[in-house]
Amino acid sequence: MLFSDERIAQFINSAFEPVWESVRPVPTVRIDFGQGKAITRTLHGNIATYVCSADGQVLDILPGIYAPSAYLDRLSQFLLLANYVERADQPVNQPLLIAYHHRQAHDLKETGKPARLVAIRRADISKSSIERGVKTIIMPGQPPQGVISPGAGKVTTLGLPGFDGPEQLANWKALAEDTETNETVRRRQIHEWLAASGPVSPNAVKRWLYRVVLHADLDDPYLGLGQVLFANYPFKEDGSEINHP
Amino acid sequence: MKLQRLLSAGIISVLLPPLAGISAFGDEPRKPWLADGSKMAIESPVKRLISVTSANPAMADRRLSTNDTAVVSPKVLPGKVAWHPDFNSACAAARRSGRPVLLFHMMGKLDDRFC
Repeated sequence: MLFSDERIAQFINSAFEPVWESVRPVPTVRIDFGQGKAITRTLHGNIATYVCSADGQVLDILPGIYAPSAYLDRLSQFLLLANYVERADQPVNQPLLIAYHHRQAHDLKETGKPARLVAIRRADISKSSIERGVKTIIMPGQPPQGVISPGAGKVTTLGLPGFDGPEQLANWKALAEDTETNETVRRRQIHEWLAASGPVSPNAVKRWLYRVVLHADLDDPYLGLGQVLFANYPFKEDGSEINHP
Repeated sequence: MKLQRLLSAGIISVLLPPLAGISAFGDEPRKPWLADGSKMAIESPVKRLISVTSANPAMADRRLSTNDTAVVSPKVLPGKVAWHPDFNSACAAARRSGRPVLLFHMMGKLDDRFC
């Protein structure tokens, strides 16, 4: 679990005001094998991480699940973005935020490499470069220090975690591939949308985000899976096995 | 005949997760084995779930004795992050501290085991 990772939790606690919200119950699957043996797990759940200004405006969004080191890198970019567009006691610099999303969408489309925000240390500031008051600039895309090389078509690994077995390795590969899809295809969709939307709250964007980007329609009780779920369902004629809300 | 239908239903239940993932991504083709792959990293593998349930018959009995359609999800710690109770509180804290708000949206609840 991402938030049990010491590095991630420590960074979030020191840099953000964190909060979690549930957008709906998660679908669960329970298989009863009899004789007291049953398994339960979730199905088709999905997540999103927003960075917002103090007045609740969405600045940027990470769609879906990320590998821990990539997640940490993107959180540091979030912090720099907040510093880039929101100075202390001033409202969000809307033109600068829109220009940022335009540039990211453009760079992802043209090169597959989003621009990176970089903190510039000033001589009169001795504290950490990620704190407020530090000048932040945007630079052409470079592979992040961590985990993926967007647009490269494959996952580049730095600091591979240790694996106890093939199952862990397979899980890690799936997570790394998902991270890359999130960073390229889904992030581009988000940048394009935020560039066009103007100031928006998380509640105003979440239905679009889940339906279009994460492919889980929150307004559909079956999250868009109904056609598949019931296509070959043997008891669909009587409908007794389907509980409609 | 009824047995055949039941077997079909059972097989469909087992196959549902990968099938659901394939079609759910509609216009974005995905490999079948990736259907629900990303969450595997944060969800317990099947073998572990079975062993946990089997090792603790009381847990299985409690689940079996509840409503058949409801899954009992034990409460867990929501990681090591100091979460604010709601979005408004986080925004109020952000105004005081000057830090941005980090909002995590999810299906289910972060302090539920099955989320």
